[in-house]
Amino acid sequence: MKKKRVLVIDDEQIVLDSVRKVLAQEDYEVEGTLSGGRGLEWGIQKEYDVVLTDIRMPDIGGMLVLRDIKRAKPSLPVIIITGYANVQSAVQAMKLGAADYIEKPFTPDQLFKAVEGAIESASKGSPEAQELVHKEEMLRVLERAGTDSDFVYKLLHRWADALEEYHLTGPEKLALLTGDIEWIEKYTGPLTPKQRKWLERPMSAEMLRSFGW
Amino acid sequence: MRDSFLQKCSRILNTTRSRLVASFVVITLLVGIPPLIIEGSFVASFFVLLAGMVLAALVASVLAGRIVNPLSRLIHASQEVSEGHLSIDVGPIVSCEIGLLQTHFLRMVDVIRRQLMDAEDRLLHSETQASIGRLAAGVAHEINNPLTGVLAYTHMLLRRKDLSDEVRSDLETIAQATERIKKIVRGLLDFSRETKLNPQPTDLNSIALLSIPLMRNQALVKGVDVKFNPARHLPMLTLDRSQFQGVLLNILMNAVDATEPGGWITVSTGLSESPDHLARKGVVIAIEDTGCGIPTENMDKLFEPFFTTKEIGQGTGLGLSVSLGIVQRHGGTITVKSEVGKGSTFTVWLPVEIQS
Repeated sequence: MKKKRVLVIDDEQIVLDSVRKVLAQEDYEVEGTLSGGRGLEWGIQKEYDVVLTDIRMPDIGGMLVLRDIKRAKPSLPVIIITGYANVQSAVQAMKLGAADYIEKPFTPDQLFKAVEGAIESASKGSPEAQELVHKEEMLRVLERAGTDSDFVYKLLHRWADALEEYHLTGPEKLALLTGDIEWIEKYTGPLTPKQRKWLERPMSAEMLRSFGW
Repeated sequence: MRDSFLQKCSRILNTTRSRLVASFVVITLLVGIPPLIIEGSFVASFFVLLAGMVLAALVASVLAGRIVNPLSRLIHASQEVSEGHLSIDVGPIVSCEIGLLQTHFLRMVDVIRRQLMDAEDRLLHSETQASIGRLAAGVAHEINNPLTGVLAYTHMLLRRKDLSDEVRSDLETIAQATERIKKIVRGLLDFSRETKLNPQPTDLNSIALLSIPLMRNQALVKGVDVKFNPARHLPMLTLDRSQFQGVLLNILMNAVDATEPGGWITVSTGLSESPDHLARKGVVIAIEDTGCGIPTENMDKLFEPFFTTKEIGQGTGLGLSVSLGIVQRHGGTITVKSEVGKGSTFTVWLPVEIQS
C-alpha cells in the first residue's frame, strides 16, 4: 500500500521532529517545514494526503494556510495543531474548514487518531465548494458590518460563531473573516465603500493576533 | 492712565495685615489728635498718641498672630495641596476657632494622603497581578512545545519491543510525570486567563442559598452538618453571580474536606466594616468549620497558586488563589482565622459600593 504523505508546518523544530518520529513508525512519509510561507507553497504544489499546521507562526498564520490550501485543493484535509490556550481558535478553525485539531502536547495515539480520521473523512465526503455561492448573503453581512458596531465586536471576538445565523459556507466565512477583498470581489464585482469597511479594517490583523493566529 | 489716590492706596494695602495695621494707626490718630487740638497741650497729646499707637501695635500683633498669620498660612497650604504637595505646614496651632480650622485642615490632608497611598498600592498590586498573569501565560505557552517533544519521544520509546522491564517501568514514570506537567501548565493557563466580570445587583444571602444546597449532600454523606445564619437585611451588592458562587463553593468544599464526621460548618452573613484601617462599609459572609485547622506555617501560603496539602492528583491548589483574585476584583478581601485541632473561619468581605 502506498505510504500516506503528511505535511507538517510548525515554527518549532521539536514539534516537527515529534510528529515525524511518531508518524514514521506507522508508515507515513512526513515532510516538515518551519515556515508558514514555504508550507503553503509545498501544500499547493506538491502531493499530500493530509496537512498539519500550527496556528501561531511568525510569517503566515495557520488560518491563511488553511484558507489558501483549501482553495487550491478542496479535498485535502488540514489539521490544526494548537496549544491549550488556543483551543478556542482551533474550534473556530474547524467551523471554517479545518478537518480537526490536536492539542499540544499530544500522545502518539492522539496524533494517529486525528490523522487517520481526517484522511478517511476526506476520502468519503465531498469537499466543500470553494467558490462564493451565496453572494446576496455575503453582501448582507458586509453591509451590516459596515454600520453595526455590536456586530463588528462579535466578529472580532467570536469569529465564526458571529456568523452562525448566516447561510455561508466555511470558505465564504473564512474569506470574510480574513478580509479577502480580492477573492470576494471576484464573484460579487466591486464593493461599495460601506461593504469594504469591514474587509479593509486594519483590525483584521489585530483580530488575527487576538485570536492567536 | 494715572491711578487715582484710592487705587494707589488699595495696591499698597492689599493684605489683611497691612489693612489692620493701617486701620489702627488711623484710629489712634483720630483718638490722639483731638486732645491736641482741644487741650492745646502738645505733650499730653503726644503721650496719648504714643499710648494709642503702642496699644494699636499690640492689638495688631495679637490679631496678626492669631488670625492673620494662621489664615495666610492656611491659604498657602491649600494652594500647595491643590498642586499635589501633601506635606504642608500650617504653623503653630492657635487657641481660637482658627485653631480648629487648622486642626481639621491637617486631618483632611492626612486622609487625602492615606487614600492616595492606598490607591497607589492597589494600582501597583493589580499591575503586578496583570503582569504575573501575562508572564504565566507566556511561560505556559512556551513550555508546551518542548513538552510535546518529551511526551512524544517517551511514548515512542515505550512502544519498543526490546525493553527490559526496568527500563519500561522507568519510562512509564517519566510519561506520568510529563502528564502531570501538562495538567499544571493547563491550570496555569486557566489561572492567568481571568474571565470578564459580569456584575449584576445581587443579594449575598441568595447566592449563599444557591451554593449551599450544591454541597450539602456531600457534607451530609460525610457526616458533616451545614448551618446557614443569614442576616436579616443586607444591602444589595453588585457582583458577578456565577464567579462569586464559584468562590463560595470553593471555600465550602475546602471546609468539608477539612472537617471530620460529626463536625459542622456554619455559614453566616452580616454587615461589617472592612478589616483594614479605612473601615469602609461592607458586607461579610463567613464560613466557619470545626475541622482540623490550618497550621501556622501554612497560613501565609494559603492563597498562593499551586499551594495544596492534598494528595497528588487531588486538586491543583488553584482554588483559593483564583477565589482571592475574584474577590479582590470586586474590591473585597478574604481573611482567615484558624486553630489547629479546633477549626477555621474564612471571612469574605465585600464593599457595598463596587470598586473595580
